[in-house]
Amino acid sequence: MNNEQKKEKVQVANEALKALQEWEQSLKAENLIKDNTIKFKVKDVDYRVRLPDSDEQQILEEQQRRKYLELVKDDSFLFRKQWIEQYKKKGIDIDKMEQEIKTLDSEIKKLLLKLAQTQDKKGIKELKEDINKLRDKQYQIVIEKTNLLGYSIEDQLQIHVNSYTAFLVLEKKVENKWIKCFEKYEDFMNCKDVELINQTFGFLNYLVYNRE
Amino acid sequence: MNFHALRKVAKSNKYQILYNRAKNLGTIKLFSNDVNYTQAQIWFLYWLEVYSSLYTDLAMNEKYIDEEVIEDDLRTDAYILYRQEKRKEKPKLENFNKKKEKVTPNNIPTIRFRSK
Repeated sequence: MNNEQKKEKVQVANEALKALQEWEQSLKAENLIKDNTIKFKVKDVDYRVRLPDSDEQQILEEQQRRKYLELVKDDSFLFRKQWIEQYKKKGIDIDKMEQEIKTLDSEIKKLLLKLAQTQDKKGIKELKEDINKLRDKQYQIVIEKTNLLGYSIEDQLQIHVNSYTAFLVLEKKVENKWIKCFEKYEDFMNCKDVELINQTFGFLNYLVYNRE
Repeated sequence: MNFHALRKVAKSNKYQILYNRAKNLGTIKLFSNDVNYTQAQIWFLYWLEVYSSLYTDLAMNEKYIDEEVIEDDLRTDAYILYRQEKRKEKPKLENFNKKKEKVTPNNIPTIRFRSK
């Protein structure tokens, strides 16, 4: 087998592998949408997350209210607006970051409109690269802003609600029955199984939250 | 798992046929649950509708749409934005033409009297 034939074989194998991976991804996507639960396995144990029912929704609202009061009473917690003011004093301008995100958004839109009307392969490739660069730049700013405001009352409240939702809707299969995975919220918070916690939050994102 | 996979399933022949039959007949179920849709299911329904409209555009020989565009997520996003902008322009053009018709009814020139 000469070099050319070897190269061709590797290329065919890579394409087959890519097709297989895409097929696997499609199967996972189908599994994600077939009903309003998502089942997954961690260390050979079957788990699932489901949508919170109306009683659980009420519990979540109550939790949100209680946590909000607790955070507002604590002087070491600040609202987003207060953090923005604090950062300004240190030379970090979050309003400017938001403006930058908007400017990048309109630049991306302009390039997208150009891409839609471009038909030559070179032009398409260049425009796609430019759009992806701008999207990456925008993503970096969004991440930076999110990290800076992570300790705000609003963000801390959201983190608490997300965690409490995960605690309420995470179930495991025991003798063919789905039972609550953790008896108490404290048990869930003290759980050391990083894989289980990461998977739970990851799948919960597809069930409850409107994020890509 | 990302939304690329969800879009790939939504534009597949199998789901496009199921979606169109479900829309026309109203009896085919896409999901096991009838209520309480998850965000992933809502996104999936959105992409089913979007790709269905893209295939219609393709069949109508609309400008700037072909199979390659549908296969490419970024080019699809670009085409959707372009189509939205074109649709926004359309009513403006129609209003402009209506105004033009009002100014010259029956093609008789309008006479304006100037005050002193």
